[in-house]
Amino acid sequence: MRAATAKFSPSEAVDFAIVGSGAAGGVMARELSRAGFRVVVLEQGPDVREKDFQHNELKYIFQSAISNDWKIEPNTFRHTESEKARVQPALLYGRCVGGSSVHFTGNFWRFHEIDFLERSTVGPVAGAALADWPITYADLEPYYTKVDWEIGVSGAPGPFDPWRSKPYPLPPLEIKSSGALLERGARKLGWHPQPAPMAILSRDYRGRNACVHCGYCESFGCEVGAKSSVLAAMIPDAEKTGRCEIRANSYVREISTDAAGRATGVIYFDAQKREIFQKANAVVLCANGAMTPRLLLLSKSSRFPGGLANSSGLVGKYLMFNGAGLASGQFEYPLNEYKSAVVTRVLFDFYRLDPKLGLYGGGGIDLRLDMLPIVFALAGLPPDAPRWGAEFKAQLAQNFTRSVNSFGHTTSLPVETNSISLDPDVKDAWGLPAPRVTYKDHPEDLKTAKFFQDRGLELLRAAGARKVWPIPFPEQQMGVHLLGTCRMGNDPKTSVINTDHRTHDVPNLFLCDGSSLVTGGRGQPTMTIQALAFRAADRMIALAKRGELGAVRAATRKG
Amino acid sequence: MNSSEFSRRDFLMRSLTGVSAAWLTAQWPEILAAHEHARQAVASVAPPKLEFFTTAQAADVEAICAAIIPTTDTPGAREAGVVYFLDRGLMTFGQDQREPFIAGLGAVTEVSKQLFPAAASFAALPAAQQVEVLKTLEAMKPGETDKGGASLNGKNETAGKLTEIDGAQVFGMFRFATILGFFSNPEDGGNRDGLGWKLLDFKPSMAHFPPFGYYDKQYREQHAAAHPGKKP
Ligand SMILES: Cc1cc2nc3c(=O)[nH]c(=O)nc-3n(C[C@H](O)[C@H](O)[C@H](O)COP(=O)(O)OP(=O)(O)OC[C@H]3O[C@@H](n4cnc5c(N)ncnc54)[C@H](O)[C@@H]3O)c2cc1C
Repeated sequence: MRAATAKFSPSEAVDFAIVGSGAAGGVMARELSRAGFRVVVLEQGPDVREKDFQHNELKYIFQSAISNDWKIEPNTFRHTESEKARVQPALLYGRCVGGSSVHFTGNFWRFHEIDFLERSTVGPVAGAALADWPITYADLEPYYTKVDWEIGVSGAPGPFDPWRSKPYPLPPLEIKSSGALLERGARKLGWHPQPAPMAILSRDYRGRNACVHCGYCESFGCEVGAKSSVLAAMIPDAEKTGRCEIRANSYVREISTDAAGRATGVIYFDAQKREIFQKANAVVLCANGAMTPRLLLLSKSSRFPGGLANSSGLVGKYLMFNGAGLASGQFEYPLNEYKSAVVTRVLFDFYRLDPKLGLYGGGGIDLRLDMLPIVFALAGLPPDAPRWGAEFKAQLAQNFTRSVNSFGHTTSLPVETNSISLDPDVKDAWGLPAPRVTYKDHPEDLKTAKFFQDRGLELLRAAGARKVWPIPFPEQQMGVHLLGTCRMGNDPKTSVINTDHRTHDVPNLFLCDGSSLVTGGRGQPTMTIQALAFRAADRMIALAKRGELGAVRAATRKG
Repeated sequence: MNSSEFSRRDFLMRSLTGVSAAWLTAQWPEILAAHEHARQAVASVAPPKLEFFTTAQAADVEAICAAIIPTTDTPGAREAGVVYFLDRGLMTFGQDQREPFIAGLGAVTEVSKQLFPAAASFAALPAAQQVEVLKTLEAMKPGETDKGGASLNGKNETAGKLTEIDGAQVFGMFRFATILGFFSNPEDGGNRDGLGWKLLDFKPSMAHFPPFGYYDKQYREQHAAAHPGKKP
């Protein structure tokens, strides 16, 4: 069910070429096209819509149905720069129209004031490039509110929330057993549980349907449009303008520049691997925290030998995955966690850890079991359970409906050597250098994660679990939150984009996605990524109106 | 997709009419059609035929899977047709797994012969001996079988052949394959009649309704008693 969408010829210069149709790109496409600009969104993934989604764990979890496929797009990984990177899956993101917002879980926390001011609040941390943001919570609050209302967020205020200018548009989702147990355990411990803010509709909203609790949520696409992905909430509006073309199966390999150092458009491979040049007056990269820096590094030229927009040398650096402290528990009666949205209650008592603990950072805790049968059978039982045979089978039967995990979502520090770079040897199926991930958790982050694991164990016990155990966390080797690799700042020497999301080096090139974050918050970045996208679109529209974006000048154009 | 997923269909259609968003009402027939198609694909499968495995290989595979998820008071991997899932998988999405899979079967045969020289095949062994073979395989580390006496209950005359095998990895592959075949969607060839899902009491549906589990039901009841008339 799609509006008749715009169709542009590659040789026609559109106002904006947006690379990536994910959480940020979808917002950008809607805002810019609604403001009157002609927009082409180049998306490497296929054009899947609600009717295409399936309830199939094998395909969605194990066969990359709507996520990046490592068989054709390998990653390489190493912990430190002195190692040779090996081919292994290290990055996970949505690769389809709507990007990672399609398969994400929908936990939708605002950052708090502290998240923008960590350097000045906690001071320097050895081995990390902690920095304050050049914008504050107050700058972003109107846009958080805009996301709430435009995207559709369900929730209710809690005692640790940052201030908000408008209430949630939708009440919390129906509580699940994990939520009831979180409340029970937390109250016993004197903590303050609250309904989880979720980008999933608890009621019908703006022509979209409320959640029907099917439970095929995390890692799946929502076929009823209740998950507030950009596919459900933004892209239809963009297409309706008649000024926005979402061009799927279009894999951008380079941003082209002219002799004056301005972006002229993008070169991409179409579905037949033909190279096509799309002309544009301005280019916006929304390809996520891994692929945006990779694309800049791929776009090196004699004028930009270290990669485009990389005069700081920081493109790809300060990669942050967020941390996690996990524990698991089994209960006497069935919870049936496989039903409905993954999370319904959350705890923010430890959002900001008491400095007396000697820990940096903080986070939030929820209870959930984001495991369907295959994954549960592979990894859901405690370490002392048999791994096969009759007793294995009996324990699976007993515990699938009775298990829940405690998930502490935590900070990760910006470390310069944690990065995305181009692998010198390994190529993808198009012959482009694979993204090479270098990542080693900062020791402070591991300490914080351990603290959250311990609180999770306490919480599960207080909730009445009959068995609990910690889930070991080896050093991270895979990122699903891809953050910080083209950080925002006022100084071109220490940042890649300014507060308008304009690159310091190329006046008509903008970056907006997970890469823009200066610090990684406490574990749920997407609300902030989308608030930034709404804000960035406003800034770009203002720049264009003032005539500061060259040929981009379209706000009065009819379409 | 099991039948409970579809028994709710009429209910859903009714509950959607008028009440729900126009968008979904319009999409729903198409969504249901896709799911219905998947369901019929299962219903219409002819009695499964082997395309990849030989009969002898299939017997070994089935026996391995049945040791990992055995038939007890409830059906196991054998009844759920896991071997057919794997046969089909190796013909389609898992073609790159053919080589390690066949090599793995070779290792199982090898260990069977080492431990029980009279064995015609792994499948021909009594269940208890099959378990012993798989336990031995699971514990084998590359290179270790060479270390004097430590290998294979001392029957190390031909142990040299096995020195390169990472038994934990080979066994892990079979475990992974069995779990995939037992718990994936029936239309993909295994989990016949949703036996794997029934074991877990997993009831997939196009929609669920609260209460979802014991504790939220209790929560709602307590809340209703404390705040009559108010939504939890
Ligand atoms: C399983 C899972 C669960 C998650 N759950 C949560 C959650 O509960 N809460 C939360 O806050 N976050 C969650 N996340 C993270 C969240 O999905 C991301 O933070 C968010 O989507 C990032 O937005 P983005 O705009 O930066 O990039 P994305 O949404 O990843 O979009 C980038 C898009 O660009 C496309 N692209 C990349 N390179 C190219 C190229 N060269 N040419 C053309 N197109 C390209 C990609 O295909 C993709 O569509 C989850 C992620 C995963 C994987």
